[in-house]
Amino acid sequence: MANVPITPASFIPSPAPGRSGINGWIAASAIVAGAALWQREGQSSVELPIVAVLIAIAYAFRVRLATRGLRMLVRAILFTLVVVLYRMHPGKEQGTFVDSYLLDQMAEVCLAEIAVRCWSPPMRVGLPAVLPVMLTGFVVVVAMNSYDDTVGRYFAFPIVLLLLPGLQAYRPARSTRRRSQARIVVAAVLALLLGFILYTVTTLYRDPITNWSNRVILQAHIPVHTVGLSDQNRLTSMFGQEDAYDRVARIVSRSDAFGHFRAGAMGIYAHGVWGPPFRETDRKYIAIEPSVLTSSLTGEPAEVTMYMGIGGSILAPLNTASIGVDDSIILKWSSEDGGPVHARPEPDQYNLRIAREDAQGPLCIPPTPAYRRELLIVPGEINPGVKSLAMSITRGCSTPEEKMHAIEEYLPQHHHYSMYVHADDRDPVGDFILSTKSAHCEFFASAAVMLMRCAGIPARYVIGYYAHETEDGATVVRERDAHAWAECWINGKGWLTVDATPPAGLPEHMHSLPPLWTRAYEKVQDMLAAAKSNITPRRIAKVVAGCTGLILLLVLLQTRFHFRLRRRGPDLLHVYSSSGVDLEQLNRKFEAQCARRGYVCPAGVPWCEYLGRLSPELDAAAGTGSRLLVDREELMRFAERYSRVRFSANRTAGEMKQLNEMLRTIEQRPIKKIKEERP
Amino acid sequence: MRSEFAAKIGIVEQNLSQVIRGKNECMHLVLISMIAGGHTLLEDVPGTGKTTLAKSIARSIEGIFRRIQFTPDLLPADITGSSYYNPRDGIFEYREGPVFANVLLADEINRTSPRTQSALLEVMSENQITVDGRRRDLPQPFFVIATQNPSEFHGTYPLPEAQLDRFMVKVTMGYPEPEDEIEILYSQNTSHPFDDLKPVVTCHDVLELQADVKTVNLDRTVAEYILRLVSATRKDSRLQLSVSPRGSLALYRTSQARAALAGRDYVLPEDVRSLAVPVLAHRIGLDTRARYSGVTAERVIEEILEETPVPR
Repeated sequence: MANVPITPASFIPSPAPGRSGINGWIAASAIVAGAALWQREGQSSVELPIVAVLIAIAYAFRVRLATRGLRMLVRAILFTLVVVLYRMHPGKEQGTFVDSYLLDQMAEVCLAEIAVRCWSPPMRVGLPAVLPVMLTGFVVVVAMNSYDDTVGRYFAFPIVLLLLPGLQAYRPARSTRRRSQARIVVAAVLALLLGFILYTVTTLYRDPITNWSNRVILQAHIPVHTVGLSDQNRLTSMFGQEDAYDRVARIVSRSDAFGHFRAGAMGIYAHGVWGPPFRETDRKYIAIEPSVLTSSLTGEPAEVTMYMGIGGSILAPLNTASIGVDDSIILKWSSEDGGPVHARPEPDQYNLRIAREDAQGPLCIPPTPAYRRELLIVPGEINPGVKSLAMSITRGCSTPEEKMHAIEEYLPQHHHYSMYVHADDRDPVGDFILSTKSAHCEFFASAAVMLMRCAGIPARYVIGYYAHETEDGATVVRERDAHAWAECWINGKGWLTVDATPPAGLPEHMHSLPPLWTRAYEKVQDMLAAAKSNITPRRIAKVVAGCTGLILLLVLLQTRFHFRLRRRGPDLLHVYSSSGVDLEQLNRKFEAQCARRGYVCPAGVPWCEYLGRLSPELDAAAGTGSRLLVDREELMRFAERYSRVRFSANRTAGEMKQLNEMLRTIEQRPIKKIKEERP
Repeated sequence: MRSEFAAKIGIVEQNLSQVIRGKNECMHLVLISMIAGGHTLLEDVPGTGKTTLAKSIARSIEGIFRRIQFTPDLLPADITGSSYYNPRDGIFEYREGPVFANVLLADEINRTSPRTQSALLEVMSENQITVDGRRRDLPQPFFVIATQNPSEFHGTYPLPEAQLDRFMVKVTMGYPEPEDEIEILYSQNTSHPFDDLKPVVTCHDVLELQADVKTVNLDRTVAEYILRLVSATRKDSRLQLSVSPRGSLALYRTSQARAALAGRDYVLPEDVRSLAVPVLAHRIGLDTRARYSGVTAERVIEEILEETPVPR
């Protein structure tokens, strides 16, 4: 009988994904690894190229980690690598997961997981297959939104490219090309959606996650530093935040709420550091009633929504007429140190009334004589030349206000804005004023303070945000808008804002609109937040009750009227007609029994043919009567009997019973897996 | 009843094996084609026993056997027969051509021109001929065994697709195994075993067998399997010409015949699988790119078989 020759290829699982273009994949992964190395230069990060190369090898060759134990081991090694290497980063020794690096770390854990998946045998459709897709989505979204590190930015797209053909190779045998393409599109959309959700959750609960991990894994409580303004106000040598798009606050007001929103003020300067820090241990905070923050001044109401914490400080301009917070929030302030208002817990929302410029609201507390003296101190480290410069600038000015204006005008005219500073470490401010003359806002603010102090005007250093960006009628403050400026006390006038930074250095001139995807993402985030605020337990109960009712109704209708949810009959070309519940069940059970013994029959080969052709040489070597042979002969007998019943026109109840008995015998036999036989 | 069937065919096989050594598979396919009511194309290089097999089958059946040696100058009328003028009676009389036979051996069919080859179109598909506007039925059973030599190009005309489609199976003989060849040498020492061959079944028997085949049960899922194989050829981008409904019908009928031959009254997917290449491969046409990349029609069908899930 002409037996159709079926090559051994039919017994080999579908080829490794992307095998046809091995060189392309290797090149892609080399580029990725190179990019990762270049990007992370000096940070001793070797985990990224390792992961990239692992993925490339998995795709290029048909090597698979066959056992679950082995996969778990590889997974553990990779995860440890990610965590340990992050801990080794200079200055990032606080915890297991490093606060602002949390997202990147998670992205890398995901990468490691994807790499392990690539080394695993083909996935079955279902949760195990969705997981890597979701992880990919997460990496993509991180890539789109990460600001402080750009792991995903270089990784995400090559990984998607690698993963999608992989999914295509894992398509179920019975699906057609168009169906599997649709599946891939759905998977990609699902991936992005799930990744987006994962990302949002991680961003929202970044601090609790980090704290939890530190507490659980390190058994130590290490408070997480909030993103945004630094608590350590050291004058830095670099000020580059143009990619820091994360929103800090959103201010809704009838008129544009632009200008300086202060978070706090500092009056003590020593060796390039402004202090005291805002921590409660470093300042004297007094609990206050909300009424203290209210004045009779008239002003424009504004509603502030905070997206991230700024160390508990309330963000408000100097000319604030009143601040209104929720009753549950405890307010404290340090009236002597420039009145930074502390709120615990940090409010998500509060109201402001912003008075006209130069108005002296509740934040403009007149300095006590002691504080006034403190604000006139010029530290000894400051070059004496600064004082003489201050004298020459203010020569001819009679009032303190004139002096202040002279200094405010002098600095932008004679100094340049630069994000990079090359100042002497011993006296960075003096060095900037007299020789380098090029620095960023922190130096301009410090210089203004020192010059004013030299000219006899009490002045202090203020940090906060410079609001300038409008969006849908509201003002948006982003991390990149962080700014520093000075405040001085003029008798008779009160506290005044002095911003000596040249116009080119103001955030509004430095930053263009954020990228489109960032804005789109924020829109969705706002919509989700709005939806979240609308969800009440009652509404949830209604939806759950409605859905349950609908499902019950459908089940009832189907059992009562036997109607089919599928409109068309089964597609002849893709699905076979049913052979009957009993036979289908028998077939499934038999398949499971064969699989347990290591026999996995390809979809295109009938059982009898497959079992009949399994390495007869091995049988011969094992000898007649061996377990191996007996077991297979039993399976073979069942398969033959099953085929007869399955395909003949008239099947009897006796035959079915006999089949069931045969299967039961097979099921009861102890299993001896024969690995070397597996095709 | 099935055992009777198998016994009858067994006798024919035994008879044939006296002459044809080591070619059981080919014999089987030819017999399947015969009892399924189709025609067979035997293809191979000269000297592999194509004509002997055809002649032996013809002789095993007690019926009219005719042979046409196809030559380049053969005309359609030489096959179908023609009317000639009888001067004595003053009328035109029709003289039957060689097609009026139970077994027709069309030897070296690709040696004649497509014009003459086409004379067989109606004969093979409808078991009748029309000459001078009059339809004439052929004797039953009617079975064409054609042989062709694929390696020669000079003076040959490849069979047109329409003609190829009318052959139920295409059988490739292949060289015999060394031990079989030794036997062939010795068996023809004194006389050719073909000379001693006797008819073992009658035409009536063959007709009965053909009717019997049609009663074999073919499960709906197996029919769906046939349909999936056929539609896979229609979707394959390497193919210029795909399998026609006549092809699916041929696979259906031959599967039934194979089951009957194995003594079963039901068709298994294995029947369909083993017949897919001989029944379908000669019906498909590869496009130029596939042909020059070394793909063969047989390989395409094998790949489709591998990829198409079988009903279980």
